[in-house]
Amino acid sequence: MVGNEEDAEDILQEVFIKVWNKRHEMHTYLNMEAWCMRLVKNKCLDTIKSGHFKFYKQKEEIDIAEEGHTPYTNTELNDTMTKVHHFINALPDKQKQIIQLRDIEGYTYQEIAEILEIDMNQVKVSLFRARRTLRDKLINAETYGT
Amino acid sequence: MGPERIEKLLKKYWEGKTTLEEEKTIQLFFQNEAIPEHLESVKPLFNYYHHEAVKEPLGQDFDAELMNRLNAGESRFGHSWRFALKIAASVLLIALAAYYFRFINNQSQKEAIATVTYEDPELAYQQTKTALLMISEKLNAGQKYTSEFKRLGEAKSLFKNYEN
Repeated sequence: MVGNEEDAEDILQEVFIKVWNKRHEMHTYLNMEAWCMRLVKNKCLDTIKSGHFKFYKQKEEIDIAEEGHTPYTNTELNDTMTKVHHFINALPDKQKQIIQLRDIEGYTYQEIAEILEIDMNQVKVSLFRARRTLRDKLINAETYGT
Repeated sequence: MGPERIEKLLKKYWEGKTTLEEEKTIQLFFQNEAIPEHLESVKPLFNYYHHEAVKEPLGQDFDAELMNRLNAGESRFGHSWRFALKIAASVLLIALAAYYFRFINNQSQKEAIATVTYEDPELAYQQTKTALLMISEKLNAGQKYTSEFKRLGEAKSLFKNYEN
């Protein structure tokens, strides 16, 4: 959400500290993991809104080197991954968060609804829209090179 | 996995109707199997998800810094008490400064009043003369009555002499 690992780690530390300070209240939470994820989400949003990034430059490119690939194919792979990264970044915030939580982190619809504090129907509708948008953009990129 | 099965799963996937298990199946397909040409365009998406899901664990630096921050944050008073003390000290300082400033200001005004009469001798002389004339008028008014009392005393002496 914040676009770089350093700020993400900083936010994670702040959330750990908050959870530690509220350790006496832990028994009151039905779903600890969802609560922690909510703290992370809210902290990320606060950081983005305030613009107070400690490490300013956002990740622009994906850099991977797959085994068994030539440097040429690795470059091509990096380019397509970077393209996907930009397509996902261009989604509305809610859809972007749901793609992250479902397709990358593997959370259930119920867990996503608790973390984002929305109802399950909204989760399903947003996921549907996000996936369709990404599919259409990928097909267009393949067909028209955009 | 047969092409028909993957097509069905992908259709469900785009409609947002797949289970987590089915989504894992789709991921595995795009990682390991030969991809039909018409599905090549969406392969990068599942490669991206696979890449992002496999993250390096947090290093020992992370743990060390976290412990430092936790230790720095713990104190006898705690965050809220220290913050309240800082606010109270600031308010007290401002109040004292305001009181001192007002006190100094009053003193300056008193000195200013006294300075005006000393620095203008002609005015001081005129005001003093006026004040003394006022006093003497009052004294003279009283003088009229003292002369009456004196005449009363003389009349009394004459009366005493007559009786004797």
